[in-house]
Amino acid sequence: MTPMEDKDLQISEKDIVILVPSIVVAVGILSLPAKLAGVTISSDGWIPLLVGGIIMIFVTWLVVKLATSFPNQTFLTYASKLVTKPIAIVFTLLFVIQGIIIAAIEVREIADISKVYLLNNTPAEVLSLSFLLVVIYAVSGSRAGIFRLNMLFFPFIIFISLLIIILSIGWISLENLLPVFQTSIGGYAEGMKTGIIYYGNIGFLLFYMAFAKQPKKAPKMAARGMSIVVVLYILLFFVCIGVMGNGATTNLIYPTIDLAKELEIPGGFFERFESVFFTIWVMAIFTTALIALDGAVLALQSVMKKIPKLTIIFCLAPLVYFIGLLPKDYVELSTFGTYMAYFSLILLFCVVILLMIFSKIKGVK
Amino acid sequence: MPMNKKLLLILLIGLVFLTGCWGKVEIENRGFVVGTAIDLEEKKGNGKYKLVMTNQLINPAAATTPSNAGNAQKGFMNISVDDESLFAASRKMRQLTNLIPYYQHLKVILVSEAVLSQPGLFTDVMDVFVRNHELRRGVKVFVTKDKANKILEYVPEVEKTPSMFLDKLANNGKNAGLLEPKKIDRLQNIFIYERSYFVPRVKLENNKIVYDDVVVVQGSNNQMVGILNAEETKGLLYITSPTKGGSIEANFDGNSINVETTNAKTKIKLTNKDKENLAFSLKVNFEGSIEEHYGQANLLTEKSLVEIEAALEKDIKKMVERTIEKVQKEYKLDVLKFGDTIRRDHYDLWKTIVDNWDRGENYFSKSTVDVKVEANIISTGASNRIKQKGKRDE
Repeated sequence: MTPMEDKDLQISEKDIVILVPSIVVAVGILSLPAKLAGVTISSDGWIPLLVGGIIMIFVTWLVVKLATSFPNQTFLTYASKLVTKPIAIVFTLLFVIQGIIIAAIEVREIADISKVYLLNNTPAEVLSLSFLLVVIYAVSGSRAGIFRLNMLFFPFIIFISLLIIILSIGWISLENLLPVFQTSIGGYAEGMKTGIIYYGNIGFLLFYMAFAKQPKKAPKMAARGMSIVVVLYILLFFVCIGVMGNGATTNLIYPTIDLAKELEIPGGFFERFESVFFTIWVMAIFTTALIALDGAVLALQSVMKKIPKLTIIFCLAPLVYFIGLLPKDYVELSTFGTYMAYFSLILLFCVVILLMIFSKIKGVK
Repeated sequence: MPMNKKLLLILLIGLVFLTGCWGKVEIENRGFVVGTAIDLEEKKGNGKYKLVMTNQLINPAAATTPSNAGNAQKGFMNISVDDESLFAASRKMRQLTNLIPYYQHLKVILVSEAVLSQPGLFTDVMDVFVRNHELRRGVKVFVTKDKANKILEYVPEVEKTPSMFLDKLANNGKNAGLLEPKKIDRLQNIFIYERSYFVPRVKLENNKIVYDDVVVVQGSNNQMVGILNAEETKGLLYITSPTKGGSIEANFDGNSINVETTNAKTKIKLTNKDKENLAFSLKVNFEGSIEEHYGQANLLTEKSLVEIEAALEKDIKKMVERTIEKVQKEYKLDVLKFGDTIRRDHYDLWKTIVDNWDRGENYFSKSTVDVKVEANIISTGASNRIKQKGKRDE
């Protein structure tokens, strides 16, 4: 039961490419088309998704560039050098809070969705607990295992997502996609505001990049990983609008799930395509929750070096569970999630800009 | 041995999670609902209605055994319950059977005309089917002329249940000239945008299912205003889903000739953008093959093909124009998606007229439609003719 030491952990370029979608693609993808369709006309939502995506690809590149300009140093080490230790600790703790809350939200959402679609009679508390226990189990192992798990899940997630997109093509009606470019500037702005939060959470990269095997290549790899997310989001959005129309998509709670329910592939088993779909979303949400919790642990470890990892995990886990149970219904949970996403983005922007400025001033190359 | 004690503890905790699935329902206890019929029993005051919901459940015992002679058991059972809301009715059904209604395999929803003739009631009864997570979004919705639950009692020859029969019937629409059924997900969009629409109708005549006409529903209050008969529905097919046009009969040389649609396309274009005098051009491109011919004429000449094509063009044009006339002048409701053409190509114009499109000012009824048909015969079948004058004496 003793966890492996992480001292020698090194993550390859491929790991970084996969790490980014594993962090970013989370429960939000299930409701993203609805939120975005609500503020844009017909299929125009792809524009804010693309623009927001390009911004976030750049931000990802910037974050990793910043982190890897101090090769093999932890966030706390280089941030202390730049903006004094107390401020660096405050930043680290804010990331810990973000990790705990993100993990809590993912755990709660997966419980709610499973309850509605799969296990009607099982209490949400039990579902959250079982999911959380698996997450804790994964976090308490070696950190290298997390990357290996990402590597294992990623092909499945991408393959099934692409499969569902390809299968949907036959159901798309052009009428739903037209007219194009009719949204007002205000609508696009609103769409940007809505869309960009689905690209959040990449702040954890600041901590993981200390393990990068080839720091020079890392920014490009991370940007590549983010591009995968952008393409996936845009394709899914298009397919949802094309198959179900803007009106219905706006009014569905989880349009991506309903998209899978819409498809009827002849031949018994595949008629129920959403079962396969659920599996991969649980995987995608699992990796996000996993990295959020592990990120929090990693951040806390850097501040409190004396405390063993397992102790930190066992202290954080109940916190995650109880925060997850706080929102009383879907509306509260989704508002909570939105605020949290903005918090993560603002935190990320503040930290990156501040550190960038200080590293320029102090002339760190 | 502290390690062993720890292991024991973990195993004991593990037991809690191994008690099986919390939400399990044994398959024997599930009532698989394949069809639902909704009828209006009576209209109460204060805007409330008494509805009858009939669920068609699969009878597993009969559905799995071959339905040959001697086995009189039906493959289905129908359960009717009345209540003010469908959900309450569905709950009541649990008391009538020991089965838990299970809607994941629902194929068709039948709604009687009586329900549609009440303003807004149709959308209200559809709500529960869109909201329910169990349902698939491809469930087909039909309107029935008389009581909807009468259709569910029809015993089909091949299929086990009438619901499956209706589901397959609508699937076989390709080339049979059958209407594409309205699916519930399309209806949701229509309801949201308050478009006028048509829903295919089924009726029982001489104990046979007849599926050849549609009811026209007003978008603003979801109330049925009338029907398009079988002939007008054929015209409708050429406008909305032309490849399903099926076969068409034309007159050539005094004899009838049957042409099957192999490919057909319809293009609607807005030609005049003036609000008060909107003009559309509707062009049908028809390709067909001759399947049956009652005369002796030689079909393989340029002249006869041109004549047949001209006859076809005239017939199709007449059908299409009659449908447009009825929809535009009598019902004044755009169920032909002319409005969507404007929305698609001229969104700015659409924004200014959408509220008065087929209501209020009713720009739709004031618009003109110019119908053009181009027919092409691409095949005359394997043989030219089976009778030929003058060949006999050889």
